Amino acid sequence: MNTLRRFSGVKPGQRRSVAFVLHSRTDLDVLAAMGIKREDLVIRGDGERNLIVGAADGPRAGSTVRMLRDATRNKYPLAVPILMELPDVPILSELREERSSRISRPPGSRLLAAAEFCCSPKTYRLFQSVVVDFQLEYCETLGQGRTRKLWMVRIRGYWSFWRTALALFPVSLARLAVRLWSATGGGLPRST
Amino acid sequence: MDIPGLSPKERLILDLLLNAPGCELYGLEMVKLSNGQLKRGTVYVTLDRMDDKGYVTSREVKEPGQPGLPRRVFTVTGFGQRVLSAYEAASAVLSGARA
Repeated sequence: MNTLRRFSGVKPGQRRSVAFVLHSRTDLDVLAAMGIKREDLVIRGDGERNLIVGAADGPRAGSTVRMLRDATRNKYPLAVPILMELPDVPILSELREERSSRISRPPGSRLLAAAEFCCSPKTYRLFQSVVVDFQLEYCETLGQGRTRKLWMVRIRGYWSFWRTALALFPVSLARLAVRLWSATGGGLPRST
Repeated sequence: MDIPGLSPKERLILDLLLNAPGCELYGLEMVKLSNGQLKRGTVYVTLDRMDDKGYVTSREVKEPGQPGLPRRVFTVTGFGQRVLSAYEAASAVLSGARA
């Protein structure tokens, strides 16, 4: 991997570890579900809204590094593996450059953000329920390591989101028509 | 007087909720339990309409260790139960009358 190669040239004598760049604390819960304890991790913000997670120095550092590496390879393809120095994280500027092309958000989060922007709070709550089911099913499948099923889960999740939007569309259209009707005083302006 | 309506899907959802352990289910569970009668894309729209009619109520639940946003679980209200039993009684009477 480019990133691994890029940061493999850490100076002699400095400790190195596998680390991740994550989007939110939710992703930490995903790591916890994989058996990686939070107290064994070093967690830092990168100055934007992401977290950098690495193995903390201690008796379990070796096993945590192995678990993080396995998680990247098998179970958590959303995370970006890097090599970094611990306990400091001196490579933030380079990380930002890498992050733009490599990190993807949890599925459905952009759609949900769009729904939050466009819809009323009540409609947003409805879309939220759909996306939460989708994301939890996705996490469950990720945890099982069933990468082929992930595609099915993605397709089903996105389909259910758009199907929900389609089911709501006639209702919003009717509401808009009623609003326009009442705003124009019950119909088109009369010609004298 | 307005008589509350109950579509077959709404009836199925009320049935599922009343037979569920703890009388609480989330949308995806209902889809799985309905054997294909409920679809993922429409179940939450139906539940939202039932919520508007006052048949069901919902709350957010976050289980320990569960990543992400909380899940919304639904329960039947007393009014929903009464509507379902009224419809069941009506359909029993009507099917008896037809026979």
